[in-house]
Amino acid sequence: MKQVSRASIILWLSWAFVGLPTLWGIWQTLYKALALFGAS
Amino acid sequence: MQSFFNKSNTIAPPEFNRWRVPPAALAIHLCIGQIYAYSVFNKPLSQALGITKPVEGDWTLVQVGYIFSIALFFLGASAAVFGRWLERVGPRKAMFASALCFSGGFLLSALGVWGHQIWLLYLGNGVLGGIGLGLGYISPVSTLIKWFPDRPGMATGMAIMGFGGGAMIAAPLSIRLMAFFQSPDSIGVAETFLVLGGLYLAYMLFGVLTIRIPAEGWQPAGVGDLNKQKKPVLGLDAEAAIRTPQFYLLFAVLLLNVSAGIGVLGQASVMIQEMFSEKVMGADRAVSAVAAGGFVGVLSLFNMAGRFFWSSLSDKIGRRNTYTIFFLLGAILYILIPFTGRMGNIVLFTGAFCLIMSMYGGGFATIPAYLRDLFGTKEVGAIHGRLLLAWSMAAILGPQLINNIRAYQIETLQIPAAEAYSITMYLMAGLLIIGFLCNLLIKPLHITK
Repeated sequence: MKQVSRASIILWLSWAFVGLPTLWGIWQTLYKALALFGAS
Repeated sequence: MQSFFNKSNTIAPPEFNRWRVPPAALAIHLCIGQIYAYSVFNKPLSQALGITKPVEGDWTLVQVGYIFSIALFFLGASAAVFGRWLERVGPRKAMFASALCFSGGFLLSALGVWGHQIWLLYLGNGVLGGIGLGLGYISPVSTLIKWFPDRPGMATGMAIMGFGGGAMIAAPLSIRLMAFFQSPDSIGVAETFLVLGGLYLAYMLFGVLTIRIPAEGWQPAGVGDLNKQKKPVLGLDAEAAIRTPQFYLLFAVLLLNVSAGIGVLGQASVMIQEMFSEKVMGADRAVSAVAAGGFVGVLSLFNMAGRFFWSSLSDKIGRRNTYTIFFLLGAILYILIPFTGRMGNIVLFTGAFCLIMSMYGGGFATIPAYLRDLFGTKEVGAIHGRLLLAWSMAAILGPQLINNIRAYQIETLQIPAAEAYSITMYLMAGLLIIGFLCNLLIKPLHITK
C-alpha cells in the first residue's frame, strides 16, 4: 500500500513538473492573443 | 556513472507505471521547442552594440536569422546521422547528449554576445543547439512508441505537442529575462542565454533521470497479445527501411504537408494585415499589426493542440485516413481562403487558418506512428531521424514558394497586395493534392522476422 502511494505521488509530481510550465505558456499566449484581438 | 547511462540500466521493472514516461519525454520537448521562439532575440541581437537602436558594426537581421536556419538544418542532419546510435545506446545517453548540446549552445552563444562574435552564435545556438534538437526530438518519441504499442499516435502526439508548447513558454520567459537584465550597457541577451542554458540543462536532466525503456517482450496490461494483431512488432532496420518505396512516399507526404503549413505560418501576420487592410475593410475594421500578432498566437495554440488531437484520432481511424483528411480538407481550406478575404469575413479566415495549423502540427505528430505501423519498432527512432530531413527541406521550400510568388505577383504583375495570395493558396492546395496521391500509394509492408 505504502509502495503504491509513493508511486502515485511520483507520477503526479512528474506530471505537475511538465504540466504547470505548459499551462503558464498557454495562458500567456492566450491572454496576449485575446487582448490583441480585442485591440483591433 | 557510466553504468547509469547504459541501456540495460534503463530497463523498467515489471511494476513500473508507463504513464511516468510521457513527463520524461515532455521535459525534453518542452525545452527544445524553444527554437520556435528564437525570433524574440532577433531584434535585440541586431542592436547588441547600440542597445537602443542598431549602430555601425551591429549584426543585421539577416545575419541573425541564419542562427535559426542553421539550427533547423542541424536538427534534420543530426537526427538522420545519430538515429542508429540512439537505438544502440538507448534514450538516456542520447537525451543526456541532447541536454549537454542544447544548453551548451546557449553558454557558447552568451560568450558570442559578450565578445560580439556572430560565429560563436552560429556554432552555439546553431550547430551545437541544432544537434541537441535532433537528438532530443527523436529519442523520447521512439521510446514512447515502445511503451504505448496500443496507442502510439496518442503517445507521440503528447511529446510532439510539447515541442509546440516549448515556444509558448520560451517566448514570454525570454522577454521577461531580457527586460530584467537590460541596462544602459547591456541588451540583456547574454545574461538571458546563461540563465536559459542553466534552466534547460536542469529541466532536461529530469527527463534523463526518469526515462525508462520497457523490457523485451513487455506488453501493456489489458490489451491482449499485440504480437497476434496486424501490426509488426519488430520490423525493419533503418537501412532496409530506406530502400522501400514506402519510405520515400512517406518522405513526400511529410515534405508536402509541412511545406504547405510552414509557408503560410511564416507569412500569417503579413497576410492577415494585407488581406484585411484599411483599403479593403475601411479604417474601423482593418487588422492592425498588434492584432495580427494575436492572430499568430492563436495559430500557435492550434498548431500545438492539433499535434495531440490528430495523432490521437489516428489511433482510431488509422494513419492513412488521418493524412487523407489533412490533404483533402487542407486543399479545400486553402482554396477557400482567398474567398474569405474577398468576402471580408475575418472569422471564417481565422477559422480556416486555425484548422490548417492544427493539421500542420498533426502531420508532425502522426508521422512516427505511421512509421511504426509500416516498419515496426525495431529502429523507428533511426527511421524517424532520416525522415526528418523532409522537415529541413520543407523549411526552405515552403517560405521560398510563398515569398517568391507573392513578390512576383506584386512587383511584376502589379497585382494589389490583398489579392496577391490567391495563386499561392491554390499552389499550396496543389501541393496537398500531390501529397494525397502519395499517401494513397502507401501500401503495408509484409515483414518477415
